[in-house]
Amino acid sequence: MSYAADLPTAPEFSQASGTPQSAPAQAVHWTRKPWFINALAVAILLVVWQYLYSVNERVPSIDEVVSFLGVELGGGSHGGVSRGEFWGPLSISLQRYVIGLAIGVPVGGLLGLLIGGSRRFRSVLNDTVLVLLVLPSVVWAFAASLWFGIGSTAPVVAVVLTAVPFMAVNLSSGIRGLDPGLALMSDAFRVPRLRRATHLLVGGALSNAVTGVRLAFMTSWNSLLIVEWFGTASGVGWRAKHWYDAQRFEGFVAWILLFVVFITLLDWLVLRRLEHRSTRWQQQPTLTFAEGEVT
Amino acid sequence: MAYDTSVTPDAVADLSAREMRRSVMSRWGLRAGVVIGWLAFIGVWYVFSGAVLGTQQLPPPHTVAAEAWQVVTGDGFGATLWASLLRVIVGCTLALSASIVLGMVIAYSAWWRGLLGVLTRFFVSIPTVALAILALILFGVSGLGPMLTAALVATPYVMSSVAQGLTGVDRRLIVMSESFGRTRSQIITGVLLPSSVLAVIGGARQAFALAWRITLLTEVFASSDGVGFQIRRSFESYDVRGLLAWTALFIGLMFIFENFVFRQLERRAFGGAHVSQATAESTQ
Repeated sequence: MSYAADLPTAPEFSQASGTPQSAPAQAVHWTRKPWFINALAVAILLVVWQYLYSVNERVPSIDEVVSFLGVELGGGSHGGVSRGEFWGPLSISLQRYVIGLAIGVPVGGLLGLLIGGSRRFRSVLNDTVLVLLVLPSVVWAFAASLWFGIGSTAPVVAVVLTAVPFMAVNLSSGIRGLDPGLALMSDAFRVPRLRRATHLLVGGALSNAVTGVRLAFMTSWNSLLIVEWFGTASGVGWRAKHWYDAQRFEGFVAWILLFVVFITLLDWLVLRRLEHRSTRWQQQPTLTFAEGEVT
Repeated sequence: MAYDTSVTPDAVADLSAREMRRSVMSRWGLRAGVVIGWLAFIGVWYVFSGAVLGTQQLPPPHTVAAEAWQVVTGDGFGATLWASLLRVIVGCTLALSASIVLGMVIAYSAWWRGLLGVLTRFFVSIPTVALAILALILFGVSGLGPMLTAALVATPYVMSSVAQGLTGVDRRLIVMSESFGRTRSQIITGVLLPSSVLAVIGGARQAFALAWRITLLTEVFASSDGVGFQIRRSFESYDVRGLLAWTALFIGLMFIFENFVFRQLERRAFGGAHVSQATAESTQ
């Protein structure tokens, strides 16, 4: 039953615990500055790439990929009649992605509310949601493209089916993690139902809901790409497959880089900010009764 | 025991009137709920197969079950399963051993934590389907691709959970051990290792679940045997029955491993390390 623990949550490193941080007054040595660490990481990745290029003739070189990207983004010629395409495939894929999430996130949220809020619903629906969660996205992708053909329905359905269980599991675990003492206290102070829903439920489970949204975004992007790879003739996944089938591996690697850039931008500009805002209210109470520690 | 004075807020909550009323009814009601849930799942499946998509597009559950039984009893099932399982186990072991080393490095060095954090964020944001195809480019159609991809994908997650287990050790326990004059090696074997064993088992479980999914995906692209290859073959011959039968077997396997292997391991580890687990929970 504990498949919730297998959710691929993005690894986080707790900065607070661990080795004691140096006092802010001390100057940080330049090898510890973030820009240096970032540059070092990029350098390591480039060196590994260059090494792979030198040992494996199927791996494209860095400058091949960069010049390919230039042509693909700028709409120039790849040689012959084939021209660079970027915005067309991207807008088609984004449409499918947005429609799928607009259906999947609310449905998953509703399921999560039911499962988290009522033990009866939980006993009935829990196993089904877990089966949906364990189901590999490649199976959804295959099934959807067999059922709906090569149009836009299959990718949208796959995005919905991937987003729903992630949203449901996260929101329900957030609701079940609410402090039962707070519910008792609301009983004792006769807090009306509506205020209880907005303050207790939304306030307490909001951060889990946002985490669920974030995971739903990340994983359904992956299954969108799989469906587009196997079962459509348009979109970014299809474009990457196109170059792979043409044995132009520099084109394929260039598109992988674009996927990484897209998901990173989405994560930084939208999802992390949402997550930050949703957890901002969680401040420690000024007076605690735990072991006489008053912080 | 009747006059236990240590009444925590949790205990009060547990004894609340609502809980009392529920506890009488709940046990059997909830069990019935699980049965109803599964019946509903199968019923919805029948409805979709009969009325919405058609039996050709979505075979009804009993057809899929018969097909799965045929797959299990037919020859070649053991070889297919073993091919995938071997990759999962090797990938998992690689990921776990790398994570233990890297997890320790992360837990005790802020500089490495920063560097590995940046690299991890990069790898995590590569869609797994792209990694599977990269494995195909790098290794061709072979067993090596699924194995290494599984290890590469699982490592960041396992690494961070091992590191969290190590940094989550209650510092007061270490201080106490020091003040009672324990040596460094005694602290490592008595305090640090027991609490990290749980983290390592948790990591292994996570690595296993992830490795299964990634191995399956990579086998779809870059393998000529294994469960993923069978799923792909079913897809390419428009055989929805075979696709669903293999998927059902895959899910069954995951549940079996989860319930019979990792839960047992965890139970055994809890027996040895229940003290440090208790403190880890209370400090969170």
